[in-house]
Amino acid sequence: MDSVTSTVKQYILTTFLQGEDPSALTETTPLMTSGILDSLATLDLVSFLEREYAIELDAGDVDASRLGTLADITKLVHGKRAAR
Amino acid sequence: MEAVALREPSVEVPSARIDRRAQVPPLLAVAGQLVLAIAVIYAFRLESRTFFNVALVLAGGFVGHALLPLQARMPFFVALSAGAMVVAFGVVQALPMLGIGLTLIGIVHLPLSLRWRLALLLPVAALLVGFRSTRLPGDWLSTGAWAVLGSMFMFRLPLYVHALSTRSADDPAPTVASTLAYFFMAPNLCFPLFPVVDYRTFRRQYYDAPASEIYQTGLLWVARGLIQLLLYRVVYYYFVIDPATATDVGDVLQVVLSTYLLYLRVSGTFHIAVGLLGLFGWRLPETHHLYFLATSFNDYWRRINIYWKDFMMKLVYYPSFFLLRSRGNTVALVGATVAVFFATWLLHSYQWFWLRRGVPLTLPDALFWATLGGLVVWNALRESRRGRRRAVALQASWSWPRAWRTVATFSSIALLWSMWSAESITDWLVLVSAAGSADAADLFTIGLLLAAGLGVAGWPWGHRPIAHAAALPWYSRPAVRSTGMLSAALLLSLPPVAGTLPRGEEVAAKLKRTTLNARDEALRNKGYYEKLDAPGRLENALWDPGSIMPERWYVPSIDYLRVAEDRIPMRSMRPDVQLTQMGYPVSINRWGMRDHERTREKPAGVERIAIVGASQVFGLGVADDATFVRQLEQRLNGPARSDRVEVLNFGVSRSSILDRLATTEDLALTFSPNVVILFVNWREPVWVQQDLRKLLARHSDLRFDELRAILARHELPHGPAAGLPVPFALLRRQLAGLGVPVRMPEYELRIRLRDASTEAVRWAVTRFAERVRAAGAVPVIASLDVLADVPPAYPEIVEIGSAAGVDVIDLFHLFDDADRPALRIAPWDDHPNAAGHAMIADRLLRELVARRPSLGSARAAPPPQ
Repeated sequence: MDSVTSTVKQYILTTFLQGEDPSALTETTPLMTSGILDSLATLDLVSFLEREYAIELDAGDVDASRLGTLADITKLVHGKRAAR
Repeated sequence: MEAVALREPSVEVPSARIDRRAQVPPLLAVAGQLVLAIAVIYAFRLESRTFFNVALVLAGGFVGHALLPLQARMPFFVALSAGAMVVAFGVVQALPMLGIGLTLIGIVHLPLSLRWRLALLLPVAALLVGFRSTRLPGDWLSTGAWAVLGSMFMFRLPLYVHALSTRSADDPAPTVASTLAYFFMAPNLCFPLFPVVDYRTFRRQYYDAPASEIYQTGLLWVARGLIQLLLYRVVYYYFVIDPATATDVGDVLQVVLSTYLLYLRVSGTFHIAVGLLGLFGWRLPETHHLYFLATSFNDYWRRINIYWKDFMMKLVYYPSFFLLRSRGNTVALVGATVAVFFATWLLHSYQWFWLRRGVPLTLPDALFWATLGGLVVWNALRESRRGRRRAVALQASWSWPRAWRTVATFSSIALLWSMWSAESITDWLVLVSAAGSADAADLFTIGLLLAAGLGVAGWPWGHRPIAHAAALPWYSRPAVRSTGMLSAALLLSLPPVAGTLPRGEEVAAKLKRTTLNARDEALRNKGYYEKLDAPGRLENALWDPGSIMPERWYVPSIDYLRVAEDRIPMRSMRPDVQLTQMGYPVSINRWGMRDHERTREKPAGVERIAIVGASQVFGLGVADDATFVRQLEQRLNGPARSDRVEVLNFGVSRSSILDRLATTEDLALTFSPNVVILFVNWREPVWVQQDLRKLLARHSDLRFDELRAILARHELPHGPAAGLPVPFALLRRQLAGLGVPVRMPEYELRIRLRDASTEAVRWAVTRFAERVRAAGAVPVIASLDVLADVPPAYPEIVEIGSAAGVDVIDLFHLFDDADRPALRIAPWDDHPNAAGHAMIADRLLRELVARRPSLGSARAAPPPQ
C-alpha cells in the first residue's frame, strides 16, 4: 500500500472512525458520498493533508472526484507534491 | 476556453462492455419492472400526462439503448430526450427551447477568456429574464416551456462553467453528446423541480459500475419515487386540512405533520428523475436519504436534497471557507455556513422566478432559512468541538439516544416547515396558539404517535451498497424490492383486490384522482370568473405542459356578466346579449336571463317554475337549447309543446347564495312563479366568504340588516385593512387604546369570515324560504355540483333546508355512477355538457312530478338526440 494511502487511512480511522474495523475501509470505499467525510470532516482532512505533506489545497480540490476515496486522495497528494 | 469533443473517447468502459448473452436476462428483468412502473403511473394517473408520455418514450428506448455500443448510447439518449421534448411540448415550442439552450451552451464554449464569456452570457440572461417576467413579450413560449427551460439552465449552467474552469487532466472532456444530455435530460420535461445535477459527477459516474447494477438501482429508485408519490396522495387527500380550521392541539399537529409530509412529492419526483437517468447509464448519487430520520439539524441538511447541498458546498461553502480561513477556522466555519443559507434563501426565490415568475422574498421564507441556518451553525460548532461518530457500516441495534434525537429533529423541522408554509408569521402564531386547547383524545393520540415515532426512529434505517446485492437475502435484493413495491401498488389499483381490504376500494379510487383536495379546490376557485387571466392555468402548465386550458376559455363571460364589488348582488347579467362561448350560442334576454323572451306577467293557465343558481343553471359550456332548464321545460310540456309550464332560467355564473337571494327578490319573484328552486353547491360558504371579504374591504352596502348583524357578531371590521396586524382582540384593543393603528391579521380575519359565512348561508336559505312563501310560491332547494372526481361533501345543506322548512332535492350524487369524463364540457372543465344537462333534467323532472303531481299530467319529451 502506498505510504500516503496508509497514512491517510490511519488518520481517517483514528479521527473519524474510532473503533471501526480497519479492513472495512478500503482504497475504494466512498468517503464523501457515504457520509464518512461530511463538510466538517472534509475540512479537517484538508488541514491534515496540507500540514502533513506541505501542500496547499484550494476550494476546487474539495470535490468527490479528488477526495472521494483513499485512492483519489493519494492521487491528489502525489499530484500536488509533484507540482511543487 | 473549453473545446467540446465531437464524440465520446474511444476507450470503452470495461464494465459497460456488452456480452449480449449475459446481458439479456438482467435486461429483461429490468424491462419487466419498467413495464410495471409504467402501469402504476397509468393506473394512478401519477403526476401528469406529460410524465406518463415521457416515461413511455424513455421506457420504449431503454432496451434498444442498452444493446447499443457504448459510444452510441449517449447520442441515442440525447435523441430520445429531444423526441420526448417534442412529445411534451410540440415542435413549435421545442425548437425555440433547443435554440435558446444551444445559444447559452455556445457562448460558454466561445474561444474567449472566461471573463468575456461570462460578460456575453449576462445580456442574454437579462433578455431571458425580460421574457420570463413578461416585461418583454415572451408568450411565444408557454409557461410550462419557460419553467422547464429555466430548470434546465438556471443552476446547471453555473455548475457547467465551474466544472470547465476547474477541470483537471483526470476529468473527462465534455463532448457534444454529454453536454446536450446534461442540459436537455428528458426527466426535466416533467419534473422542473429537478434543476441541480453536478456536471463532474454526471461525467464521472457514467457506466462506472456493471451496467445491470446501474439499471437495477435506477429502477429501484423509480419504484421508491412512485411509492412516495402515492404516499403523498394519501397525505394530500386524507390528512391535509385548512390551517384556519385548527382549533386544538390535535388539529395543529395534523397541520404541522401533513404540511411537512407533502414534501414526499418533491423527494418522490427526484428519485424518479435520478432513477430514469440510471436506466441510461448514469450512476448518480441518491438525492434524498431518509431525511425524516435525521438525527440532528446538520444531519438533516446532509440528507434532504443532497444535490442542492452539494451544489452549495461546491459553489458557496468551500470557496467561502477558504476565503475566510486566514481569520481562523471557527470564523471561516460560521461565515461559510451563513453564506450557504443566505445563498439558499436568495436562490430559492431565483428558482421560483424561473418556475413560477415573481420573486417571493417573504418574512416566513427569510425566517425559515435564518432559523435553519442558525441551528446548523450551532450544530456544526458543537460537532467541531465534540466530534461526531461515523461508521462504515451501521450498528444494527435499536438505540434510545438515536430515537429521541431523531424524533426531536423531526418535530423541530416539521414545526419550522409549518412556519415556512404559512402565509404570514401572524398566521402561524395564531395556528400555534390553537395548540393550547387539548382533550384526552388528543393527548392519547400524541402519546401514541410519539411512542410509534420513537420505536421506528431508534432503528438504524439505511440501505446497503448495491455492490453487496449478491450477499443480501433474496427478499432484500433490489430487483425483488422494486418488483414487490410496484406489484403491490398495481394490485391496489385493481378494484377486486382493493375490495378485499377495509375501505380499500374507496382509498384506491381516491389515490387515482388527479384533482385538488377540498382545501385547494376552495382556494383555487377564489376568483374563478373574476380573474380571467386564470393563474390556475400557470400551475396547470407547470405540472402538465400538455394540457393547458385555452387562453380565452372563460373570457367571453365578461361580455354578459356584470360584476360589481360594492353591492349585493355582486353578479348579474347584462340584458340583450348574443354571443358565442366555448363554441356554443349564448343568448341573454331583455331581463338579463339566459332564456327565451318572457313577459313579466304570467300568462293565464301557465305554471311557472323559477330556477335560481350559478353556472350549472346558467348552462356554462352548452348551447341555449341544451341547458337543463330548457330541457326540463320541454319535458314538462311534452312533445306537443303545450307551453302549459314555463321554466325560467335565473342562473348567473359564479353567483354566491347572497347574489341568488337578491336575484330571487329583485327579479325572479316579479315573474309570479309557482315554484322557486334555489340551486346550491358545496362551495356556498367559500364563495360567501370571498364575497363578504370584498364587500367589507370596500365598505360596501351589505343590503340586508340580518347580514350586517351576523358580521357584527363576528366582530368583522368594515373598511380597508390598515395598521399593524395584531393577533387576539384583547391585544388589539389594548394597543388601539394606546393610539397604535392596528388591524385584524389575515389569519384571524379568515377564521372569522369562515364562521360568519357559514351562518350567512343558513340565514340566506331561511330568508329565501320566507320571501318565496310571502310571494305565494313554493320554495325548493336543489343541491348539485360539477363533475369533480372527488365531489366534496356538503350534507349540511339538507339540514339547513330542513331547518328552514324547505324541501331539498339532493342531486349531489347524480353523477356518482356515471362516466364523468364523457359528461364534462372539456377535460379541464368539470361543468356538465349537454348529456350531463339531460341527466339533470330527467332526474329533476321525476323529483318535481313526485312533489307536484299536477305536473305529472304532462308527458315527458324524449331526451334530445
